Amino acid sequence: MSFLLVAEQLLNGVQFGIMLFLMAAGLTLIFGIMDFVNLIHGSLYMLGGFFGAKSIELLLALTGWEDMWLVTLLFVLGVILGVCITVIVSGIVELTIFRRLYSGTHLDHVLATFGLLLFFNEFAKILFGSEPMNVPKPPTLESPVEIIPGITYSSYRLAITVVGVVVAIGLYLLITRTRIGMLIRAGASNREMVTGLGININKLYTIVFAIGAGLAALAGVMTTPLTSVQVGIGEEIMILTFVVIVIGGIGSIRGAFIASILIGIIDTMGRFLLPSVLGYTAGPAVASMAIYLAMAAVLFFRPSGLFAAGRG
Amino acid sequence: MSGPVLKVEGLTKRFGALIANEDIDLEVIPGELHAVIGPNGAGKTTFVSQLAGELPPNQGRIFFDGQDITSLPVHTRALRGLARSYQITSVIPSFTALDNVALAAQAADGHSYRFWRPARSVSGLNDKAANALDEIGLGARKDVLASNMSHGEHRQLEIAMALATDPKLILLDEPAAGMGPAATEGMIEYLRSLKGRFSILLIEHDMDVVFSLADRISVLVSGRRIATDAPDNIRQNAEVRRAYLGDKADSLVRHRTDG
Amino acid sequence: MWPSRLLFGASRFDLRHLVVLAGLAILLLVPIVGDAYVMRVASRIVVLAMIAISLDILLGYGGLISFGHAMFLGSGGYVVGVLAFFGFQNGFIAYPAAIILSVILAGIVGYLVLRTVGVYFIMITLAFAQMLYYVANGVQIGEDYGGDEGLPLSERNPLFGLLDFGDPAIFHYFTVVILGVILYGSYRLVNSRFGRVIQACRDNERRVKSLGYNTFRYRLAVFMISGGIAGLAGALHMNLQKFVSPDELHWIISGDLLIMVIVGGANSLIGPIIGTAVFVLLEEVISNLTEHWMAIFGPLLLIVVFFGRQGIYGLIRPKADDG
Repeated sequence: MSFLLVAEQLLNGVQFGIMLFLMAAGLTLIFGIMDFVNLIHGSLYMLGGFFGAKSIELLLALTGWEDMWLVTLLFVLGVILGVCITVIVSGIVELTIFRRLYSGTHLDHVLATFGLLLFFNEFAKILFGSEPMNVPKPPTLESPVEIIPGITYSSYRLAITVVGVVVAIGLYLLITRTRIGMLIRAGASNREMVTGLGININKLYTIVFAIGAGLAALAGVMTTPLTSVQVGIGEEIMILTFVVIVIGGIGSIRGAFIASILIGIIDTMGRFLLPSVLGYTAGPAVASMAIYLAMAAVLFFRPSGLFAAGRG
Repeated sequence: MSGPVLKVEGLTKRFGALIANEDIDLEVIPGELHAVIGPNGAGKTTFVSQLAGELPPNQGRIFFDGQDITSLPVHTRALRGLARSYQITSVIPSFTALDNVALAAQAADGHSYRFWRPARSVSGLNDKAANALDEIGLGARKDVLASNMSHGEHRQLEIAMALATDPKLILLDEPAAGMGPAATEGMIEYLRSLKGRFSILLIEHDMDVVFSLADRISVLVSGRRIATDAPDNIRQNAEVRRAYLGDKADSLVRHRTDG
Repeated sequence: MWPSRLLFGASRFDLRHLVVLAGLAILLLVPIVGDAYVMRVASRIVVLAMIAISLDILLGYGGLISFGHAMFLGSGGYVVGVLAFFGFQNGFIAYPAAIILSVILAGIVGYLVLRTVGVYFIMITLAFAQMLYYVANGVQIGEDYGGDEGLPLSERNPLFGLLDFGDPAIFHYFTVVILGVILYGSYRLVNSRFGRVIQACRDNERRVKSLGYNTFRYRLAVFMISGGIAGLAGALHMNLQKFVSPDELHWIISGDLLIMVIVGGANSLIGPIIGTAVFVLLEEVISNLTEHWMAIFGPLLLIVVFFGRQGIYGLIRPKADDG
């Protein structure tokens, strides 16, 4: 097992962690600000993947372009389209259904979003079929790049990592530098206060939900060339996202970031290293458990997460 | 021979830069009704939360019945006889009044890991609860769901629950909060009937309640205890009048001359 | 008079009695009038109803929204499967072992999850169930068994040959009796002094603490009791199917169980049974009509949330009884 291989897996872990962060950043705010149990965040990831993949496929078929830069442009366009369509779908869901649920109990949230999750799974199956759907990487990002002398790495993974980091920085600026961000921060640590300030809380909720949906869809569509997209793919990543949020602390973007990278690396390295140690049945199983054990440890010492945002 | 039932030494609580309670000393003598007054933001609620164990102090010690309880959790303090009522009504809404009080009696009784016999058939608990309700004037309402009771009745139920735990000391956090004048009068009379039977620490905002009931009064201002004395002396206390009573000093003097 | 008081806490005959008596009659008659398929569905309802009741003790009475109850369906089933592989077929060993191991599992999981409340609790129960899903995937015994293939059971755990479980009808009646025992035991439990504390915690945990109760320990105890009942149900489910696989622990199953409880009517003991029956029958009926039955079922849940939160049992409960 060479150093190169380990380094590559480590980078894969970071890349996966960044994707998890895109999921977790929105969801932790939704939990923190709205105190709303949202089980469809994974569905948005899946829908983002499907809409994005279909858009790219259609754009390529319609234009017939083959030039590698034009195809890359179509790819980017498809990603944007996938994100936009998902945001619109989620907006409709928020305005028509979730808005009536905020005042309800957690049980109402669980039941309703679970119902929606089942619906979206079937919806995707009817629309896109139950076979995995794949899109090729953009041709400009096909070949590996040399990141430091002697170490090459997938340029596509590197690109989506960079996009993720840029989005993370953008989110950080949005939250720390703008008025909306100020309200979001206030809402995450003290919901009553924002209501008390006479802010249109419904509007804030819609914005937060749309941001969350956009980030989830972005993660979904950017991951598609690596793993392909299929029905149910969002659920596993949603549960991982829950683990991230539990570790990071509800409502904490910083906690979500650190926990995402941590879980990304533990998960990837576990899958990479443990099978060779424990064999090919127990190995992957133990690797899958590793992150939950990490969560259990955090729970034991800090029940409200590493970076609880004011509330328990 | 008996020392103070409650003894607080140097209790300090900070929230970041804000000092909510600073170096508070206080004693409650068995059988006395000791009132803690102070303007809004004086740190009364922080103080009572630390006594009950819901908030850990930064510094200081709390002795209850001669033993250090500073680091004990809420339920252990309650079991040792430190009962409390809440400023904001805190009852079990889906239970009847009787079941609410029986739940409290059951805590003191100590037999709650009983999985088979119907709770409502345990006559000892029912009798005790019914008596407590009779005493506070809710006897006729014992089978009404707490969620269907009025605010005033909730206040009464709160105290009946606290009493049913066989307390050595009761922390009453603004028992008359939100009550009308007539109901407040009734509450005062009821509290008066408890005097001598229980040691009571009364956190209160309402001057009428405090000065007509308390044996001693402690005054909190900006998180610090500035005086502890008999009601008459508190009225006279220059520091109290200056620091806390301010414009209310006149009304207090009038109150005294009336009484 | 007596059974009526037992089930409803009231002695007046009303719609609920009719529903329950009709349900009981159907369960008892199924082996006589139904074919193998019908009996299988009926037995499945009976076994899943047990786990629904155990979940409702947590959810409806304890106010704890566990999104991981399928873990016990798995733990009970896997204990039976692993024991059978090593030659321990006797039901007097297998069933108690399934219960005890599920109680221990609930103790460990509960110790961690009960340190949290609200959204955290929901997420963490789900996460731990997912962890056990992976554990189940890693269970490998011998060359051919385990992994995502699951474990088989060659014959149902015999009880010293007292009952011939090779006959599905006898196994069906056995499960009906066990359901009855669980129902009665749960009825005693929720009305006991312990049950009173648990329900008070649901409404206002802070107050219960300030009365002198160590609420964490009570909740842990009820979590373990619930886990034990669910583990028994898991063992019976394994016996019914003669097979257990990681699919039993899939998180969707945990969600399905929640639906059964809520649709039937949480905070009652009959409600979860009705909910289970409705869920299983709907599944059988709609999934025969269209493969996309979830596209119909999902929106149905939204309708339940907006218009029928008290559940089916709540709808047929007379209003005067609320007091």
